[in-house]
Amino acid sequence: MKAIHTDRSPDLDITRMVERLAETYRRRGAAHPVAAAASVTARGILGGDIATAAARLGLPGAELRRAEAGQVPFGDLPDAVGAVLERSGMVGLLGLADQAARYGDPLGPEGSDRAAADRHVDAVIEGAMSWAADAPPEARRVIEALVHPD
Amino acid sequence: MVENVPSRGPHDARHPVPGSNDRAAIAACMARIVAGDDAAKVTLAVEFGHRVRFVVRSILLDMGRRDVIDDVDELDGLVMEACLTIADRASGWSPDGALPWTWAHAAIRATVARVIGHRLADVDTSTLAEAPMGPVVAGDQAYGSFLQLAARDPYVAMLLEALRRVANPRDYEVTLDYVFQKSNGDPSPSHTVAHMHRLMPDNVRQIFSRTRRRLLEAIDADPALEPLLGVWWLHG
Repeated sequence: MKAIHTDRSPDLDITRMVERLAETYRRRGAAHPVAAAASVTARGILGGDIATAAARLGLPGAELRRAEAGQVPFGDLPDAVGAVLERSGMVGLLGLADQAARYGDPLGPEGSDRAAADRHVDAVIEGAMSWAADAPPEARRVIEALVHPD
Repeated sequence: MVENVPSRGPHDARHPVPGSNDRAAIAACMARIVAGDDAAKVTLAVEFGHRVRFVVRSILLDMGRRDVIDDVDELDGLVMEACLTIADRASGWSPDGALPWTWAHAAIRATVARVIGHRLADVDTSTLAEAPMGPVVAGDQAYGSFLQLAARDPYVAMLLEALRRVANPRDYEVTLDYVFQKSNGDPSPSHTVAHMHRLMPDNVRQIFSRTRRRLLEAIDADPALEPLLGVWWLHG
């Protein structure tokens, strides 16, 4: 007998949307378009406006606003932003780092060489993966809710 | 009646069944997209991407592109394109109307076709001469048997049950006959069905259109009927 499946898998990969947002920001002239897209995506995953999302992440609103405006290099993004992306399981951070490199977006702090930038990205990703353990309790609950909705 | 449909119970907190609260969440998300908040596009994908994925899958099935469905990365990429398609048109969406992915079905289908292209298959002309000429006419004995057999399929049974709920017996028959004639290549299905039911062709088309609209409304109102969005004639 024919089986009918509904499709409610939570493991959707939204990386292509992040890449499309980054492309849009690049066309608009953002200095760090991939970092901007990553920050916007983190807020989209959490939901809410900048002030609300920043508070849930334990970040100053201005910091998240700067990141979304493309004023922060990918490698300098707050660990909490990377943590949301990483722990959501919906975004490929390495793919975004590659896109940033293709755009000539400095991966690390301004003035650093590529090797240092790569190390910085590695550190950000590593930090993102371990961040949840050290995160403020409210932010940790948000992350856990994303990973364990039950 | 339907097998292997996962429960949509309250345990699935991340992807709740769209009730009134969920409709409010959808409306809020769409309003933020219209206001220019790109994060809301991501929220649309995260919160409702599984529903958009169902629409994309149904379109791919209709196109015969199981190969794309089996490619998870490609499928997810198409779902993201579909979400962006909805977002691009968000300003035209009304919270009082169909759900965004239903409302934008034609646009999503165009996006899918643009991204993956259409599969081309050679026609085997050697079999054409042996094929029966002309459409099978509803009302034949074979047609009644076909309908009974088809109703054993849970998907068809779901469709027929939903159709009975939204249409009176005459409209139910007219709609099925019209669809049957159309799917069998009848160049003038409304004339054929009009003759069968002693109606005017315009009436047949109106009945079909009305029933189709009511069925779409029923699908919107009842998530359990969502699989029916794959029915080809609902999006003609």
